[in-house]
Amino acid sequence: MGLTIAALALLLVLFYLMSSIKIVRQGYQYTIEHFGRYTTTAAPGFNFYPAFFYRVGRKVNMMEQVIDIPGQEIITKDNAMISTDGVVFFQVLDAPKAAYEVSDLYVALLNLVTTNLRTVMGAMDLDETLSKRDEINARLLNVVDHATTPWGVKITRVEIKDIRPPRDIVDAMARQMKAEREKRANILEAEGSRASEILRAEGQKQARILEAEGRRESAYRDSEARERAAEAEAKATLVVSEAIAAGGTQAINYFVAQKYVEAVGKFATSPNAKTILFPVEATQLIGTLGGIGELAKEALASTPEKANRPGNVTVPRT
Amino acid sequence: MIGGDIGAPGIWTAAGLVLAIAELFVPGVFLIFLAIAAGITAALAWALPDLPVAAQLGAFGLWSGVAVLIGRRWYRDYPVESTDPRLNDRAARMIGQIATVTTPIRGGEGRARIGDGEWPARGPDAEVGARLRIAHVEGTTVLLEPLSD
Repeated sequence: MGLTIAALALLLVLFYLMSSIKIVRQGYQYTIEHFGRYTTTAAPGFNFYPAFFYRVGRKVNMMEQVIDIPGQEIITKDNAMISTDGVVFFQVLDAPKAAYEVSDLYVALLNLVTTNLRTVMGAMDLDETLSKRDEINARLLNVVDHATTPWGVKITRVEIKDIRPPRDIVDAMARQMKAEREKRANILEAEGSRASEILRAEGQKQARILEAEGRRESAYRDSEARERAAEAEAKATLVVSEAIAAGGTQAINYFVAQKYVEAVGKFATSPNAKTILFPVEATQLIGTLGGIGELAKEALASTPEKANRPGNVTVPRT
Repeated sequence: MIGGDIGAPGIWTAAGLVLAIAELFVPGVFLIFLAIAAGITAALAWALPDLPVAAQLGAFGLWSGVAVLIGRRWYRDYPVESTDPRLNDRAARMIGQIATVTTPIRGGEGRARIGDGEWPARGPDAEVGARLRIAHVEGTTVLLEPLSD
């Protein structure tokens, strides 16, 4: 009997001690209730709170935690329906508040973020929702911070995981992008052909100018050559006429005879030498030869001083 | 029943060893105190061979309580310091960090960027982009003070 009581007493002592020692693991804090009222918070490590008087109320996770926001349909400001989902990171800063100020922290946070996500994204255009994730996060945080402050919880960040516009809008976006790129390609092509046309015309213009310059230059040279030729002709004529003036008809006869003989020579060497037209009497030619002969006589008979001065030949009368 | 071949001291010693081994497998710093109490009881049973079983059990219970109380006092007076006592205490960790104002602080209320998140902030009036030091954290609000150069 005594042994049984002793054993039971021992069991009671053991269980009492067992339930009085509270070992709190790192990352958690336990709220301690004294007859149901919160009194203190047990920090990680070894804690001794006498059983019967003290109980562990809530075991609060003090680590940063993640909640998945389930996918939901949101209508944007410009009436596009998008489905989106995200994640919320939060951390409890004040264990007793998180334990007692809000009934079910996870459900509360989830609903808070879900509804505010709808509010924030609903106030944006579709393009904004797709491109301004940082702004969505900042705005969401701004709104939910006020709500979570009494709960001793800080939502550290809200991340939008996925934004999916409906299929037809995605198609339209793709078409728009394609059209943009095609437009750019066409513009570039047109610019290219324009530039090449301009370059070609420039080249042609340059070529024409050069050609005209060449023609002008050659015309100048031609005219110069003609002038020179005319000058030479004039000089020659002058010399001849001076010679004639000095030498009389005999000199003319000499020239004419020279030409006559040349022409006859040409007749002789010409390929169609079968028919030779002589428009003048041959005797005339002979006559000129006679004239030359006389000239020779006079030249030979004249003084050496006179022979030294060509163009001043005196022809004695016969 | 109690006694057997090895006698009461042997049984208590064995019990102490079993409890100490169990401590290694069961989380919690409880069984080791019982192991100590069992060891003391074994010493008693060896010193007083004609101690009745009820008294032995009583002694065991008593020494358990004493061991726990001594352990508790020991921990209180010579706490085992964590190398990172501010673990899981985000607020305490942020004190001394530099925050950048994102919503101008007007009338003592605004918002500041700390790390990659924004926090409600209180402090001296400041424009966006101003950099202030976190002096204190109150709930989820950071209290800012000007940088002391």
